[in-house]
Amino acid sequence: MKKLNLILLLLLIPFVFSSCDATADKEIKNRLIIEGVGIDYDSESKEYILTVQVLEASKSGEEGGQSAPVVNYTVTGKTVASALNSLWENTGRYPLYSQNRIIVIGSSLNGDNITRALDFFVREYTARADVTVAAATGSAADVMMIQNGGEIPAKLIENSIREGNENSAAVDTELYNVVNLSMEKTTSFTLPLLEIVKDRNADGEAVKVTGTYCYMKNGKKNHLSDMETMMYKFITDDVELGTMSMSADGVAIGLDIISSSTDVKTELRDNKPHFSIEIKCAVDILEYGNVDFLNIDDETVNRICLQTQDYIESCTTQLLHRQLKEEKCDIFRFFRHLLLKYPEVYNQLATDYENALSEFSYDVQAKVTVRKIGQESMVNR
Amino acid sequence: MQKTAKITSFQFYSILFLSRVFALVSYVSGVRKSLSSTDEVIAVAVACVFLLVASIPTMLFIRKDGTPSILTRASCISPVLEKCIAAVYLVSIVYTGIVTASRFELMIGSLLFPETGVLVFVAAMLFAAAYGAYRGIESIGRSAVIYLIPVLGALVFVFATLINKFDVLNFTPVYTSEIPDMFDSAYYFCARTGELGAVLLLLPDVKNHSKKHMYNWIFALSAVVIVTELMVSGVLGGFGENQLFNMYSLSVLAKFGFVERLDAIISCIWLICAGVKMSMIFYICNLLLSSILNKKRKLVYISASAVAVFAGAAVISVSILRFSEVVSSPLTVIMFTFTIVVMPLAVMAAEKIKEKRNEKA
Amino acid sequence: MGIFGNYRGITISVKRMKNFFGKWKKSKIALSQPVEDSIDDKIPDGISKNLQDNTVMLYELFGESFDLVIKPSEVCGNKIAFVALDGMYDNLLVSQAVIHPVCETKTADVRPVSVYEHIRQLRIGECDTKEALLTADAVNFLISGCLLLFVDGVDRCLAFSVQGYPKKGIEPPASEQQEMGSHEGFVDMYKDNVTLVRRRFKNPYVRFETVTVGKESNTTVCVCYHAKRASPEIVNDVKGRLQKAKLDIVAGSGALIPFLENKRMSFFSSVGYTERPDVFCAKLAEGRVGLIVDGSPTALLMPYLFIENFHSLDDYLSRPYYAVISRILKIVCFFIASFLPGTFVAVGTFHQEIFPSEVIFEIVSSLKNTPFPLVVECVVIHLIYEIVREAGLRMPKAVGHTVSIVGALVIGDAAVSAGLISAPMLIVIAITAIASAVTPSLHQPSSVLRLIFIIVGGIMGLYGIMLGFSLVIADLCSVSSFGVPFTAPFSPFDFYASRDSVFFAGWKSVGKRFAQIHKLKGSDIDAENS
Repeated sequence: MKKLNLILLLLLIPFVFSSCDATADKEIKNRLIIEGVGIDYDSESKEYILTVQVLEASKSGEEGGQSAPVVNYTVTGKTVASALNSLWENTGRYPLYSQNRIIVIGSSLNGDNITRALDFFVREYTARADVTVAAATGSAADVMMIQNGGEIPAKLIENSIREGNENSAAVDTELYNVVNLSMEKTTSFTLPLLEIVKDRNADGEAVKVTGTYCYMKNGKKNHLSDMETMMYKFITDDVELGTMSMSADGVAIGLDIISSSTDVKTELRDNKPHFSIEIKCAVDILEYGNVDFLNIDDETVNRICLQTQDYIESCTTQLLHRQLKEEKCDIFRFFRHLLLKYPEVYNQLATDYENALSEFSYDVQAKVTVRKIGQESMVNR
Repeated sequence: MQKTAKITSFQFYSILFLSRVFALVSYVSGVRKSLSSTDEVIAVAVACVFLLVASIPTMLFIRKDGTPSILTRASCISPVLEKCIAAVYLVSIVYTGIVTASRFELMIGSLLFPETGVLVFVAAMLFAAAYGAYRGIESIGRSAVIYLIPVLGALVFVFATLINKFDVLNFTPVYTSEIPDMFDSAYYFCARTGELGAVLLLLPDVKNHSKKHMYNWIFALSAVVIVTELMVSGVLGGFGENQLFNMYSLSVLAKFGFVERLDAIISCIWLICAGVKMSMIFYICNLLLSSILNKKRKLVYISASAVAVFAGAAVISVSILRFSEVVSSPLTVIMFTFTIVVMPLAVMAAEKIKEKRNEKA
Repeated sequence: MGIFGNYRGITISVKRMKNFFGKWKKSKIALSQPVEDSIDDKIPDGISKNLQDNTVMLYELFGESFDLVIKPSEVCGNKIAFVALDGMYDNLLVSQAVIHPVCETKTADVRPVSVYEHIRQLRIGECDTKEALLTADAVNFLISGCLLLFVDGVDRCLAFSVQGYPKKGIEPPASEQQEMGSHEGFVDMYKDNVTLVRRRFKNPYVRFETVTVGKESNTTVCVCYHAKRASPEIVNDVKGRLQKAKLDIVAGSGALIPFLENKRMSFFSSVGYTERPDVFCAKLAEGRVGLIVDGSPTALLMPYLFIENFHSLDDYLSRPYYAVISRILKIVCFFIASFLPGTFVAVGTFHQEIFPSEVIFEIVSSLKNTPFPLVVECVVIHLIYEIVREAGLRMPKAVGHTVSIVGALVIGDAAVSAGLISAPMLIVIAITAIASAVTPSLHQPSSVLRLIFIIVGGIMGLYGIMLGFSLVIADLCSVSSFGVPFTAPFSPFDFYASRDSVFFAGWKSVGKRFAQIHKLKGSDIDAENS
């Protein structure tokens, strides 16, 4: 019986070892390690132009380590998959998407084209669902090909977005969020907007996050500034930390946001949806720019709270008005709130949701608490 | 001291729990009816209620003073009945094995090794499972207790790291889907719990067994299943409806600081549960074949079961359409109803009739 | 018919071939059969009354051996002979304590039997006096170092325990170094070892029973157990297995292990060993059975659990929190030693996403220049490591440091510089090597498992490693050591015993009641036949 077992085992070995050849191509040293992908679209030739940033180990040590160890390949194709396939054919190396940090969408792509382009990354088994997706003001290729010393551009972009998100200055949209929001027929998804700037410190370029792009269902997009992005994050309860600067009574106030929570209540008023948004925020005073270095007292603190509340309320109301009434774009998922609470009203309104948005009403209440005031002491006058 | 081949209740239910974890991990959403995310959660909760109800015949079957298996009790009524019951269970358990191996093949082929021929992996897994079954129920039970820690650890890691991404807005209103579809999905989900059949067949191998342990298992299972479905719906939302294996998609998103991209490790840990399930299936096949053929040939029976399961899986896994047809067929539901609900009740009824006849005689 | 031709005058035919192969087969059978000891036929079972016959018998039995010493003498007119093996006895003890009093014996009754009885009842110094009625017994006493006394006319002989053969002193054990424990280790003489145990375990219930193993060597094996704590079934089982052991020579205690383990082969041994008497005593107190083999400083212990591979005496002598850290470290090191190379190969070949983004560039840069696939590279380095390790073990100490220099500088540094192997792979194997040294008792299985997992990882990735792991677990879980589950107290879970498994709850907790190993959960289950 032992001999029989041994014979069976030996017979199994050739079948098992037959995959040995296949593994040689899949080893890490033989693969194209993709760090970032930029997607542009040529509407004339109806082709996707992909800028694929690949880690190139042989580039280390070149030019005294001044150039980044990456190579940018530009490939085209009718579909993203065919474009990436040509990459394999050109280099002879099998691409690895699991180390991909960022997907940059060029300005030539609108909402529908974006979801079509991203389908490959949703299906591909090595591509990850939590890869960051961002938009470029110009072409994605320019963003991917920035020169900044020895840093990997994709890594720089990813870090910029991550830091911006932590400071509530940028949204951090991951691939699965884009899919999620795209599947909601009334919701528009947002992507952080990247712009190439000159890096004053290093002799090169840097990428800066300058607000947010909102991609509407009708193919249009609109832009949110940095301040609007923060207000958007307030409304969607996405603020972790951040800094706010405002001016009140001629005094510049700098505030450090420590925590924030938002509650959105949906109700019907005159058969029309009304959203009550309550923003609770705790801040530390970073700077109180008065001339005389006077200590802060209770009254000043209360005044700062009120001024900040007013500031937040007015800015968020402006943003809500612009998005819902003017741009007719639901980036706040108000329709989703409506669906959960009043599904029959949602079903009525969802068929013509753009016009329905103009009938939405809302009110914003902000409540700000000052937690700390820094090293200066507080006085009671 | 007379030694017996028995495992503890904890070991036994660990085997069944891991078996269900694999069923949960390999669950393909929308295979029968496509439900909205909230309705999926409700369907799963209803499935747990169905499971509790369906376990009533098994609960009634269990006696306080040590329960012989359903085969032993059938043999007391009639040897032919015993063989018929064994044959039915054999068909049911082999079918379960084939479906399990197919799901395993689909998981491996879609998520881990799409470029490599996966039948080799399936064969390797079946070989390992057959080896475990050959070593005996004690080996399977002890292994299950050891595997419980990494499997639960992986689940806890995924849930704990994704709690921040839980968004109520990803849910849908309740009863968006048709109620008959929800009940259909719920019963189908419940019907995949063929482990109750193992309870009926393997009770003599379990010492210190009580109904309380079975209830604990059902409640623990229900809790894990409901929490899993809540996380899938709350974190993934519409993206989850888009994906083949939701649990794997969850593990892709799980990260903690610099610890990220561990989905390969997590999914490999979960895939061990397939081996435990198949070991149990082969062990039961050995038991049933010994009963039908009245001969003890452990190696032959286990090998034959493994070959049958492999052949069936190879046939089903040829295309995704064929897999979908087989998996969504009503066969699972029919077998579950017959083997878990009807047969134990029939055996108990037959025993009562025989008792009355003997009393009259 | 049947003739194939002619080669150098020899006719090659079927008949010749049959004869040739027939002889070859017979000689093959003959070689595999034990050589018949024709001398045994000539040795009578009982001792002869004739002194001359006994002397001749001994000369024939020992042949030309120079160390057989037969010294004739006379007592009360009766011829006697002292027989001993030169080098096995203490000269001073023999001359002063045995020969002098025996030769000076004066009895009233000068019949041989009376003289014999008188000598037998003499108090001969510090010696233990035994009597042999059979030739085999007399020979056994002789080769054990006793001095035999034959009296002409008596069909028995006396054996005086005057052993004085050279032996090593008590030294610290070579392999089990401890920070806080005793510095005494077992030695080769089983009696000295028994003394070391007795000194630490002053309890009349600790029994030491001898069994002879080895058809030719007749090695004494001492079975030790605590009569009130050990299971009588296990004790009898051990004795039975020893008696059934078919061995010619017991070269060391390790030779007995296959006979003590269960029939099913496993990577892991279910028989433990130690060179420390303090550890031996502690294990006996838990109801285990110990074997002290004459001529070997390594004592065996059974039943043995898998978790004990990670225990050391220092755990019990240190603070409990440090014991926990130490044990967890050992467990982690075992996993590193067994799985790390295979995991690296699997991740590098199939699951590259697991590499952190920050280090992937460095790894790819290092691996890029190597010509071989990862799995081949890993197997080659692993084999080189095993060769270096084996060379370091076998070479004389004076030259041994050369091996480490050659290994480190030449193979390590030069091979990386030449681009034959990559630095990450070398680091992985180096960490593995250090980790495997943390648990020496598991070195053998982890070496083999490592190689298997490297190949499996290269073929089937992490999934293959998990599969291999599950096979190992299935193997572990089916092993029982004299009825006690090998994976106890984890599976089946025993709460009380688990307080001294990965964790050590401290003596105040653990010392309240000693866990008896044969009473662990699962000991009543027949896992072998399930």
